[in-house]
Amino acid sequence: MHHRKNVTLEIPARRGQLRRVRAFAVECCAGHRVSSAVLAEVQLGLTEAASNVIAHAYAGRPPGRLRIEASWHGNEVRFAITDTGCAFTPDRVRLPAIAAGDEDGLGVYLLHQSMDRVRYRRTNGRNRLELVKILRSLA
Amino acid sequence: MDSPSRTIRGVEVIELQVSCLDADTADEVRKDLADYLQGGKKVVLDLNRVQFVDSSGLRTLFFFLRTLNASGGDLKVCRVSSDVSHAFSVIGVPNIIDVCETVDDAVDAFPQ
Repeated sequence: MHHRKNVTLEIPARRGQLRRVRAFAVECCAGHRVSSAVLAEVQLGLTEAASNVIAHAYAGRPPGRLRIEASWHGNEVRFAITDTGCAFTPDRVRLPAIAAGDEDGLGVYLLHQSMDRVRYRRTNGRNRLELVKILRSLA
Repeated sequence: MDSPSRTIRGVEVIELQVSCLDADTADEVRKDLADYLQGGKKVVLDLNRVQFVDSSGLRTLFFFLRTLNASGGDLKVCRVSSDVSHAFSVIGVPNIIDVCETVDDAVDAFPQ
């Protein structure tokens, strides 16, 4: 897999930005001959991560920024999603009992199902969500 | 948005006009379909134009189902793209909402 320089998307953490996030996912997968299913998973994972920041990180205060940095390591792409909003702990990783009316954690569950690794850190007043996707190339 | 609808054998068939059913469009879709969710209607949502759905979009579909069920109605969805179908299968949507291949299949899935 060829070497690529890191690329970054920085957007306001407010509604109406998700198309830009998915276009960024397409840009990050371009040239890696990934299947449409892998691309769809990257789009879904980044959308859920960005939606979470937009909905919760700056609740009750002026909207801040959301930054997504992508880097490539071997056959995987790593995303670091950072914001300066309130702390977020994506610790509930199970499918909610939707049929019983429980939808809490649906986005976090989809995020984990879409990516190969998910890790969250809070340092120096910043949230940093790290997502890794293995870019399985088409045969 | 004004999603077009037609009635087939007493079933409202609505073709969603959004390509992405996500946190940015979910509220608009809820408003657009509000009139169809009352009076115990039988509703088919034709998703052929929808190429992406996230957790907000899925919550919107579950909201439609629960609202319709509360008044004695029901919901089926049909013509689901492969990428949307993937999100559906991860969450187990077919265990909650009837997912049909064609509009006719969805209409026929309602008890006559």
